[in-house]
Amino acid sequence: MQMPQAAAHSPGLAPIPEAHEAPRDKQLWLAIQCSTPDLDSLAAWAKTITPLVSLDAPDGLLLEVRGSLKLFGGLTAIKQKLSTEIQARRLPFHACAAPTALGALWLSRHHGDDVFSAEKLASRLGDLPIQVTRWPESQLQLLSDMGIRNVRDCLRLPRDGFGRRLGQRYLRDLDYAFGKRIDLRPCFETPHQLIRKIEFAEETANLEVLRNVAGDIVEHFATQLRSYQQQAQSFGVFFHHHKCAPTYTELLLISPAHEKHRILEPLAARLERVDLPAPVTALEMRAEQLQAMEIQMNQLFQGVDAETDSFELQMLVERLRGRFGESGVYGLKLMPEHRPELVWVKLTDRLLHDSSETSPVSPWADERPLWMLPAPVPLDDGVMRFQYGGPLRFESEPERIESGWWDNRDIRRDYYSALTACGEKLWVYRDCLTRQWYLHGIFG
Amino acid sequence: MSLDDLISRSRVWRGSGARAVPRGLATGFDALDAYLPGGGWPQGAITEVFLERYGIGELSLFMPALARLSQGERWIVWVDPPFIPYAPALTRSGVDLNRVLLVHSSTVKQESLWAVEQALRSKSSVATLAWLKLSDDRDLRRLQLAAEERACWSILFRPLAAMRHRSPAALRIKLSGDSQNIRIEIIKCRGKRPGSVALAR
Repeated sequence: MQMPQAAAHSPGLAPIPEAHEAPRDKQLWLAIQCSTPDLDSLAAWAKTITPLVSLDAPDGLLLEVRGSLKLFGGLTAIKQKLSTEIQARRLPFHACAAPTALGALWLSRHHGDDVFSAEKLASRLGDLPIQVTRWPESQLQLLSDMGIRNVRDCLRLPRDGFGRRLGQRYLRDLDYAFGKRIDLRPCFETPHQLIRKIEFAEETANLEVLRNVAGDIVEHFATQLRSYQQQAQSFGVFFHHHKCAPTYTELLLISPAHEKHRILEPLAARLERVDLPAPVTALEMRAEQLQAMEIQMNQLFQGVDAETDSFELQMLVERLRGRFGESGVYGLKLMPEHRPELVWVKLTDRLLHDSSETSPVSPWADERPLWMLPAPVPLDDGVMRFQYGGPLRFESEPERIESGWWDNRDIRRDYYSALTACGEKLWVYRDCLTRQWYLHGIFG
Repeated sequence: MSLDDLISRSRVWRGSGARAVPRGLATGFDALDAYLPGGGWPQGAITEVFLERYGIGELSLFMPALARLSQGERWIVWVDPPFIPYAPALTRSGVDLNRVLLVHSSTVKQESLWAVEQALRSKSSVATLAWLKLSDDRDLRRLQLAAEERACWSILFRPLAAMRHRSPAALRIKLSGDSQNIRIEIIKCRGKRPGSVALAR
């Protein structure tokens, strides 16, 4: 029987080029050397290639790509993707892969080539000048005084002597680079909140100034959110004062946003309504509840479709909430309940989503008033007698509503619809326990 | 050229009668539909309502039309209602609760006007009901323009004192009622003389 291996080694086949050589070690690290103040955003982007991304400040980025090779079709494809992204940002960079993280980093600092096996790594690292290690100048001076030029020379020194004279840390670095010690690196996580604080040169209570500064912060957030491919739903604003505690206000969007105008418009309305007890020394904003961006396509020809409708409603609700607060703008929802005051609830969030999810509510069978009073008003009360003076005439048989013994909001009432002398139709009840009459609703 | 041609080209102004009135929104009450030009509530315009007291059927008058509007994609916005619109009664009238949005502005005059205008200008709303405490001719003109622009029906409940003032509203009605009837006194109606209609409650 012919073994498959035998076929692979038959003389007709070309030797497999190194770049396609399957990595034999457990890990393959791709180090990217790239000088940019916005390394975080690059790291956030790199998360689309592999979940294992690590930052090496100030200019190094490490990606563990062993698990991503198959998905993206090899290291060359990944590097191609990377170069497209970084070139789009107009940044110079160098990337190279190696079985160890620190090894890859050192190689990339010297603009080296990809290495896949531990043996090759050792020889390549050995050739590197000691400067790639970025050890402190004093240590490097010490080594160069000893006549050491490259990494291989370091390994020739006695281990314990090296550790004693330079420090254990540098010995560990060598072990990490050559894969003799497991290198655990902190994984880069996209932030859970963005914070930005701007201190004023002198305290101010000028709304215009505060609005402009808030606009700058929102612009900064918008850029950051875009680069992290994230959206924020809630924004906290702190107005710091000289002596008293900061004034705080929170803006909760109906759906997460990353666009400047969607955040700024309700925010500006909110700022107008903030009561400041003292002039402001600093403005601090936090973008919270970050979540992955959901792309909404902007259509070229916007018809009246459901998508734009719900977006319009979002904008309306956010604008109104910016001014009247979250509790001032709400929808209505029916509950499976018999007690008249508990049968409905305010729907403050998920205004948009519920509309499609809820099953159609069967119409209420009993006659109910269109107006409900916030709380039942005793009919003996002076104001009510004045307003609804004269005897009430009952129009209906009493309807007994008795419920809620289980949650201490026990009610036992006889409801009547009644007419006043002036022709107003009211919904009144008598509490069966206290025999007291109450007005509960108005047939508007 | 026939007379009909002339009239249809609207070169000739006629004092009353056969002017082209945009189709109204059926009120659900035959007597009222028959009275109102266009056969219903004027759309994309303000309907002004004056009433002496609550509880004479002032909301139920609008419920059939609102119930029909709530079946569409757009929303019905309530600004500063004096009491709580009671959800069971709304569903009983056929209003889809998923299309109801309530707004409680602060008590300052400009705030509720602002809220109404925002609602009118938003493409997402099909009707607004608002209880305005103070508002003048200029405010209403703004709202009227916004209502026209977005074809949004705006029902404004205003204090009786405002009845004496001018108004750009397409329809102004005063409601009164007794135990059997609700009386609709039409103070102003675009394309029709004032009059009154009584409906059974």
